[in-house]
Formats: sequence, C-alpha cells, structure tokens
Amino acid sequence: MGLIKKYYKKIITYSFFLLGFLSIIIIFLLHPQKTSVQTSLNYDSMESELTDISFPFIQDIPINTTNPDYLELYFGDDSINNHNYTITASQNDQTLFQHTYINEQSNIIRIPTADNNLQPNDTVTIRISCEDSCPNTQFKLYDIDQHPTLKTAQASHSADYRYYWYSVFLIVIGLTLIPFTKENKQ
Amino acid sequence: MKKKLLTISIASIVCIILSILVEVFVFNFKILTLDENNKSIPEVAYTIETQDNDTIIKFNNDNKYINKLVINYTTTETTDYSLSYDYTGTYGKEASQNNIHDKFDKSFSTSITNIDNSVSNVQIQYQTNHQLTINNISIDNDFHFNYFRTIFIFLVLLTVFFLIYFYKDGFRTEKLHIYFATICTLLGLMVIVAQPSATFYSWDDQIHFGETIDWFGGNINYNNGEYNLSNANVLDSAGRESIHSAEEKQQQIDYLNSSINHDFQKTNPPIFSFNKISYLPMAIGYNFSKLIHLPFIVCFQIGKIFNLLFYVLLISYTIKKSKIGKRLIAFVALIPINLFLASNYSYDPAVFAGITVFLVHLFNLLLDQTTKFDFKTTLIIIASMTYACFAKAIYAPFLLLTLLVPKDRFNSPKQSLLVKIGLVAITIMLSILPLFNGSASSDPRGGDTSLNDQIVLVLNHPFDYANVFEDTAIDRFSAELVGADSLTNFAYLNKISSSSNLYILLFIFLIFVFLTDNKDNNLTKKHRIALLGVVLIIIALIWTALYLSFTPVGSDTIKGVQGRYFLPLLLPLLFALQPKNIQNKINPKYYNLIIFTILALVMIFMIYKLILIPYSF
Repeated sequence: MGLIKKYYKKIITYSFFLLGFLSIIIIFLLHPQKTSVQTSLNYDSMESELTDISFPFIQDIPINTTNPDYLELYFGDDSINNHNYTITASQNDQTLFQHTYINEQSNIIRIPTADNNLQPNDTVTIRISCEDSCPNTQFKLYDIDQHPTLKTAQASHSADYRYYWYSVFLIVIGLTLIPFTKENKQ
Repeated sequence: MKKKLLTISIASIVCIILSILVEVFVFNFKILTLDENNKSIPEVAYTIETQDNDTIIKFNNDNKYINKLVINYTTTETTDYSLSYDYTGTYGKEASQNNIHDKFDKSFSTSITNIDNSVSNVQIQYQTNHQLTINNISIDNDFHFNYFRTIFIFLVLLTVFFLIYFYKDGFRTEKLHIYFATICTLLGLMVIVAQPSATFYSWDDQIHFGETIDWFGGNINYNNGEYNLSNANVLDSAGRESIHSAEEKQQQIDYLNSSINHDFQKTNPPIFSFNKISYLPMAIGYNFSKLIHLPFIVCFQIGKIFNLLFYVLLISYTIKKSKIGKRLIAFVALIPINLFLASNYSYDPAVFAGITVFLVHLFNLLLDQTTKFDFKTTLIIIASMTYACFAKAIYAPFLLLTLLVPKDRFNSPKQSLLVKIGLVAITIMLSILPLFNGSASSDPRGGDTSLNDQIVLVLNHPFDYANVFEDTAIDRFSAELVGADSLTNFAYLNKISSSSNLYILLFIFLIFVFLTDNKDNNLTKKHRIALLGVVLIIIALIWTALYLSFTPVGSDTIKGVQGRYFLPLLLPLLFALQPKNIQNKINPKYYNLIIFTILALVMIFMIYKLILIPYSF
C-alpha cells in the first residue's frame, strides 16, 4: 500500500504509455476485423452520389472480399411518414436474408453473410421493395460496404490508421503527466 | 445520523400514503362522485358513414360525461384518425368543438383517449386503404388507480419535504452539493416516470440507446428482427405518436416487454471505442439490470436512471469543489432542458458535466493561490475534457484556457511549460480525433448536403459566408443561448414558449442568480476576455460545423443548430460577464431556499403540463 502511495504517479503515467503502445500492437493484430471494403458501386460515399431509387430496386453486388461477415446498406428516407421496405439479399436465387424495415430518416441495414462463404467474383442480388405508396418518397441509397472476417481478410493496415490516433492520444496524456513523476525524486 | 434516517424514512412513508390519498380522492374525485346517468357504457351505439375516401363514425352522447373514450379495433397498418366532439364551455356558454388527432396503432388493439368533459356529437373520422375494423366503442367512467401519476405525486411530495427539511437544516452553502443531488435526482425521476417508455422522445435517443446496447456487443431479438444500432428505429414503431393516456402507455410497456426477447444473443463482439465513453453509465445500468433478468422496460429505465445519477454525481462534485458561483452552477445544471436530457438516453449531460468539472478546476487554479496544478488536478482536467469532447469535440478549445494558469501554481517554471505544451497537444488531438473516426461527415438529414462542396464554397466566397453567418448566427444568438427553445424544451414531447410564465420566471431568476451569486468571482479582465474569446470561437465553430455538414450546399441560412449545443457555453459566459460590485446581503438560508424552490416549481409544472397530462393521465 505504501509503495503504491509512493509510486502512484509513476504507475498511472506509465500505464498510459503502456496502454498506448499495447493498443497499437492490438490494433495492428486485430485490425482486419475493423476493415470495411466498399463495393465497386457508383455510390461513393455519404457525401456524394446520392441515388434516388425507384421500386422495386434490384442491384447486383459484386463481392470483392473473402467470406465477408456482413454487408451493410446505408440508406435514408426523407419522407415524414413511415414506410415498410422489404429488403432481400439472394445469391443464385437462394435467399440469404429477408426482412422488413420501417424507415425513419437515415438508417443502416446489416445483412449477415458469415455463414454463406461468399468469395470474390460471387454476386449477391439486393432487392428493395416497398408496398405502401413509396414511389412518392425519397428513398436514397448511399453506400454498400462489405465487412471481411478476421481470418481471411487481406490486411491493409494503412486503411485503418484512424484507430492508431487513439493510441497516440494515450501516449500524449502520458507525456503530459511525466513532469509530475519527477516530483517523487525531489 | 440515525435520527436523520428515521425522519426521512417516516416522511417517505407519509408521502406514500398521501400520494395514494391524493390519487384516489383528488384526481378521481369526479369519477367517485358521478351520478347514475354518467356511469360507464360498455358498448356505444353508433352510425357509420362513408364520404369520398373517409369513414365517419358518429354518436350523440347527449352532453353526458366521458372520462375516457375506448375504441377496440383490428388493423393491419397504423392509421391516423381524428376525434371531434362538442362540449359546453365555461359558465355554460354555447358548445365549442374539440379536435384530437390520434392513431389506431397496429401494435395495439385499443385506443384510449382522455376526454374528461360532458360531450355530445362525437365523431371519429379516418381514411384507410387496408383492413381496419372497429370492433367496439365504449365509455369508461370507472375508477382507475393510475400508478404513474401516484409515483409522480409521491416524488413531488418528497421534493416538498426535502425543501422544508433542508430549510430546517439551515440550507447551508457548504452542503449545497447534497441539496442539489437530492432535488436533481427527484426531479429527474419525475421525468423518467412521466415519459413514455420507448425511444424518439428526446433528440436522437434511438441512436443513443443503440450505442448504449452496442457497448457490450448486444443485440435484442425483437419479434422477427433485431434491435441494435443498425436497426435502432424499430422501438419507435411501438406506439410512436399514439400514446395519449396512461392506459396506452401501459399497453406500450406490455407490448415491448412481450415482444422483446430479453435474453438476447450476443452476435457482435463487444465494441470499445473511446468516442463512446459517454454512454458507459447508461450501458452499465442497462446491462446490470439485464444480468439480473429484469423485464426489458425496467432495464431501459434503469439505463436512464444511471445516466441521471452519473450527471448528479459529477455536478455535485463540481459544486462541492467550486470556490465561486455554487448556486449559479446548481441553477444552470437544474435548468429544465439539462435535467430532461440527463433523464434520457443522451450524451449532452456528459458534455455539460465534463466541461463544468473542467471549468471549476480552472477557476480554482486561477483564483485560489493555495490550489496547485498538481498531478491529480491535471488528471481530472484531462479526464473531464476527454469525457466531454469525445462526445462533442467542438468544445475542445476550452482546454486552451489552462494557458492562463500562473506559473506559481506549478512546482517549477519548467514543469509549467511542459504540462502546458502537453495540454495544447491534447487540445489539438481532441479536436481532430473525430476526423479520424469518421464522425466528421455531412449529414444527409439536412437535405442535399456535401461537406467537401460546402468547404470549397465557403473558401471561395468568404464574404458571402460572413453574410450568411451574420444573418443567422448573430441574429439568433440570444434566442439560441437563453431562449425558450434552449432552456425549456422537452424535445419531441413538447416545449413552452418564451411568453409562458414558467419561462419568464426561470429567466428572471437566472439573471437574479447571475447578478447575486458573485462572491469571490475575482476573475481578472484578462481571464474574462480569454473566456469570452473561447466561448465566441466555439459558437462560431458550432454554426460553421452545421453549415458545412448539415446545410444544403449554397444555402442562405444555417440549418440544424439547436439550443442544446450552447448549454455548455452558458456557465463560462455567465462567469465571464458576472459583475463584481453587487453585494448580496440575503441570508443564505433564504437565498438557497428560493433558488431551489423556484427551480423545482418550474420543473414540476413543466413535467406535469408537458409530459404527465399528455402521456400519463
């Protein structure tokens, strides 16, 4: 207890360094889990290429990663009333996923594909239909992401640099606290 | 101590008994004294007409009393309907017509509307192109024990008791943090009890609830779908806009409890992200109650209670530590919008509390020569600003105010220099981290937005943007900072206007506390100018950020700015402008009593009027 009281400043300060460096290593090792791969659709990002779609909307998605855990559809509906959208994902006429969602402004639909062993060059067909007066609404599809699994994804660490900044932040906190650890010696 | 506990326990029991008596004999007085002519009618005889696409149901109630109108229905889709009836006005004046808009919600099978009047010519009108059958219409004039209202009355009585108890205790300034914690908790619990038990009643609470669940990697199985962050709107569909009585609120609770498979499967790995740290208290509350297998709605409410308690804890700590303006901090923290947000799924309380903790430590360092910029203070300053700014990075420039702290508060000039360099680096990192986690992007809810295009436009036409800024930001400066939209707004539930007595009372007392709680506020001109400068920079950043991300490219106005964004700026602004020369000679016992009583009154009336009557009567 006495030792902790004597060295608590050093323990806390160096813990920030340790956490910072450890998290860099952990992020480096685990990072593919966090990587998402955008499909080669025209919907580049949330900021541009908003696409008003008409119903039923049918789009083939070329898979460009190995065994993705899930596909994510980013969409939004600016209309005030709620509408029911049925979203179906199928491969070779076999339904992988079907569900009805109620819109409310922006939304994300996650289609689980971990059990389907999708491979590059496979195609998944997305069908979005709407039964209740949706043609008058402004349904927009922004983007479709593919999230690869940890085991099979090809790591491209530069794509996920943002997570490293949190580690750097911890190290900066440690550096800020260092001047106080010198007080113990005085 | 034992005596205090005994007094509080006895008072609580008395309050429980009193609240039951008030519920039975005051709120149900009319029902208990109804004559035979006005008793419940289990099945009302009505006619059905069709006009164009409208279906109109009519019956004449011969000016008899209706407490609650009950419509049993079956529908495949949620359908809007309007209910109109004639009622006799005050002093027996000729009949006026009242119109109520409600919904036949497909999640439920009964619509119960509070009428509480003697009415005739009742008309129910709806349009439908799907299967909707009205099975039965009845008039319910029976006695019902409303436990939402009873708990609310109990909390009100307990608040009154504590105000009297604290007055007897001397309402001492050194115990202000305890008084604040007690009153704030009771008022926050009133919000939670009165409010409907689902999402989309506070700003983006469906997203914040989703983030809360995400903390421990949870999904909730909800009928055939799942409730998680990706699909956070599912909960809204259960009764959204169709809760207008205590019975409908109970239906919503029963529906959600039975629809949600609470022993949800963990399908996602736990996600730890620094920028979600403000959700931790809610996540702990929610998951702890889930672990002990409480029903879904109880867990949902406990998540809110934990958010409230953490807010109370941080602000109480701040009040205790502060050497200036304890009453002012308590007042601003108890402003209705702050308390409402703290009692909901929201990260705004984290931002407000984090910045307040930081500011109080900063003021102590600036004003008190005995306070040292030591290891503990540095850790608290970094932790509080990180907690606030990971939720909203725009407030990070506040941390630069630490540069004002004199060298003699440090162990040595070298230590001062190194720590200040470190704090500047942390400010920069807190400001830019959102750019790296993807949260700096345009928001499609604003319309045809584009972050890149808007930046290019502003850079190419800086004077035009200055005009837009002047027309919107400067024009709306006071309204956004201290207007009714900012101070007395309960989001999607309702708000009171700037002409309301409650708002005017609150505003007058805010100015009163600002002018009078000025003891020891010896901030120098330099401090005040720096504080004002940082506040103005943050205000400009807020408007500009929303112009870039939320406003359609090339728009002449700035969209998406809400008063709640300015709440963390209110205290620093008030401290910077507070006059030194006014002497407050009011006895602290009465001064503290008046402040807490006014705040409690405003909040209780607001909850009663805006939440309890519309949703829990």
